[in-house]
Amino acid sequence: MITRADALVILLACGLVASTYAWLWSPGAPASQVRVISGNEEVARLPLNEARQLEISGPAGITVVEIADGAARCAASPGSQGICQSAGWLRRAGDMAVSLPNRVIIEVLGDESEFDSMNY
Amino acid sequence: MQLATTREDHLIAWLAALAIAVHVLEAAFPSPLPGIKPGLANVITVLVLVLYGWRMAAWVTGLRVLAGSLVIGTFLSPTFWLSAAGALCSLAALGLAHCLAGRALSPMGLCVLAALAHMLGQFLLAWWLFIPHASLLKLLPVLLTFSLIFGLVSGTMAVLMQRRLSPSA
Repeated sequence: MITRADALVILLACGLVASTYAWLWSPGAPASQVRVISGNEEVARLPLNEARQLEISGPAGITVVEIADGAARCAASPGSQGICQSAGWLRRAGDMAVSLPNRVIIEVLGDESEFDSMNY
Repeated sequence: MQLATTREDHLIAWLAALAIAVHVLEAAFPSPLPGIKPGLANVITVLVLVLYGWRMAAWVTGLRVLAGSLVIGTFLSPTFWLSAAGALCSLAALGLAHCLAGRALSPMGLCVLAALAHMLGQFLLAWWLFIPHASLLKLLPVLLTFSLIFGLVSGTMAVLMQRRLSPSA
């Protein structure tokens, strides 16, 4: 039969599962800066509060990165399927757009940059 | 050459064989998501723990992970390491719970504990070694939900089996 200790364990387990939903499925913090990686090198790290445009050249052509209204996006990229552009505006810390043909990664980071740099 | 074997060795071998059979049978079932499977071999581990103690349970589980992977063909592959990490964590949790709570916990509680510990162990290894990306964390709640459900299912089975095995209890 189920004992009291069992009931306690099951309750705690339900609590643990529920708290992982609350903890891990909450939306990320707003991003504050953008990091652009081309090949293996970080080529730019800029704050998101200044609107500007960057042109990153890679093996396939030029990827245009646009920064505006606290977000960044891939405005144009040589990839034939537009995967980089379709990632849209990156606003939440951890969002990223990737152009594989041009070997460019556009990633927005939050204030807790330690966590991001450790995990990406 | 013949090795001297004890009665306990034979018992461990029989129980491990049973656990391996369950493990291999289960590997044949398709899984909806990587990492999710019922973990029915858990039932054997928990029952051995309750009936014969932690040392036997550790032997049976260790042999099951090792020989099971040899039979399925995943020995030393990522699957094997995930399985081993899960088994290690679940054995640690079971040992601790058995030590602290003793008879207060029935196989039901032990199975739930073991299932969650197994999932956490293999998830942490996967996150640390194979896919160190924060997005993987989004999967954890789903995986834990399934392990809770399967823990309850295997717990029910273990309770029913224990009743058959020791009618006096």
